[in-house]
Amino acid sequence: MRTIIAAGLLLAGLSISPKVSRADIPPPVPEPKSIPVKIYLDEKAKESRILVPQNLTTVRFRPVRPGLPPNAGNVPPPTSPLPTSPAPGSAPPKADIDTDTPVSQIEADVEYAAEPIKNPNHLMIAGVALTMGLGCGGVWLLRRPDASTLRGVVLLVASGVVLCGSTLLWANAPPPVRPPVVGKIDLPILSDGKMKLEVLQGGDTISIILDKETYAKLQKEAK
Amino acid sequence: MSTLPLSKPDQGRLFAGGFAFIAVLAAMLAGWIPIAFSIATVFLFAGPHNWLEARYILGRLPARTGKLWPFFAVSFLGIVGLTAGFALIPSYLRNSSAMLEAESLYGIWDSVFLVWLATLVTMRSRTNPRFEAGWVWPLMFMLVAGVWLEPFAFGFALVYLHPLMALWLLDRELRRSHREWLPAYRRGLLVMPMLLLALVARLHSSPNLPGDDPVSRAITGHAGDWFLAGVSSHLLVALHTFLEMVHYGVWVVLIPLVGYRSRAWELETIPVARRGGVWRKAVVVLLLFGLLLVLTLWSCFLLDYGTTRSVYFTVAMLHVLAEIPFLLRMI
Repeated sequence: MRTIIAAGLLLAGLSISPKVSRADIPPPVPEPKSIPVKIYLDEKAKESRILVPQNLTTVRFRPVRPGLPPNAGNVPPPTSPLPTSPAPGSAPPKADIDTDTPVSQIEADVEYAAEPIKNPNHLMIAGVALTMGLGCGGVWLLRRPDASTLRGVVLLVASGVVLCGSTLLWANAPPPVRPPVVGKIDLPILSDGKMKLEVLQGGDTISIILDKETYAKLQKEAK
Repeated sequence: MSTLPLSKPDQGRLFAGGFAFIAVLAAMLAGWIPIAFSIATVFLFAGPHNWLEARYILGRLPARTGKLWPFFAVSFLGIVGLTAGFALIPSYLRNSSAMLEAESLYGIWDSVFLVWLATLVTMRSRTNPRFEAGWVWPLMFMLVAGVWLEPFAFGFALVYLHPLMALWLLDRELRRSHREWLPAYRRGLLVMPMLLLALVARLHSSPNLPGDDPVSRAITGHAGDWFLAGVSSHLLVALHTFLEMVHYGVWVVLIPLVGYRSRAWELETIPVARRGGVWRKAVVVLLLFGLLLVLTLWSCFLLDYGTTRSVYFTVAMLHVLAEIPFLLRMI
């Protein structure tokens, strides 16, 4: 009797677990936070770039090991972008841009770093392994000599059916509608164009490298 | 320890207190100055802990393999083969004609490791004391499925779980040699989850560690900051360094205290050395070579810490794998 009650409670718990776990809820928007920003001028650059450390994004890639070529895989290599010395004869760049603006609210028309390419065979191998695991597990349970095996098998099958059924019922709901993002920044625009976005391994500072043309435009607008 | 005027349970409490002291000190330093502590602990204890581990294993290995020779053969092949494979993956990837990418290679390595582990558990279950191990193959296949969905996750699981193996080994050693201390030691183990939770609570919202130099990047990379991008690297390095220091503390202080039946340099308690002749000389050469490696490691750390650390943690896979069959024999 106790076993039946315990099994019933377990099955009831499993039936609501997909709803309770809320696996379809998207992660929360990160809180705004102040991060260091440095602006460089590279007179030899052909385009402006914005370099964001990986820790400030949700992009993930393998680190480049010492001595290993950066393209040892499908991920675009992080480059070493920072000019090592300021352009000769140039004035230090002025921070015309509000460096305290939270990252999540900056609007920029940027290209995002390419996502790593997933090998489709991996999913197939995982599926085969899972199938073999379930098969071996079933054979092991059935070959066990003790009397509790049949109860265990029945409980396992019932748990699986309940979990699958409740997942189909509950867990395919679309994610809730997120409140609209805060509107545009109400400040004069000094530059409206494109920048190449690169994600760096390590570091905690966003670096903006301006090419000569963009810097000249910013100086003109600032006046 | 046996000459102290204390009862055996009190000796056990003192031992457990020593363990807890090491753990608390490690947690405080790892949370406060993770990078510096990581550099110091690896420099000081990496080599000596490997030597003391080898000495302990030699003291516990039988003089002859006898009917256990298949177990030892599979263990040896796995340890050497998997270590070599792990070390060769980066150089294979450097090859312009490499046909497989990193995810596939690490998926293959992880799968071979799991098959090896399942084979060892099955072989061990068929020798005394016997136990039922049919569950290991379904579990192995489930883990292989997980590994192919996320190849790098298993590697990081090994990085964080391996230090805990020393605690399990110490438990088995106490069961064998100081059974009366076991209850106190197991109560003392409760500080581990408490300290881990304390580190997470204190550091989960801390900013990432600064420093773009190669050593800092190697340390944070080894702790998995690129893989767990949403987690503070300060927390990750603190957790990893704490676990590593506990691991070193167990091997360098606690296991020699209870597990050696003689002084480290006395060979009479090493069964293989008691066979005499060339076996004794081989044990002496092995231990002296180990000492030479420790001194070389220290010298290389002083010359180029970053490169030496990277090379060490690749080669150190050998000792991680060697602990597995040894632990299985102690269960």
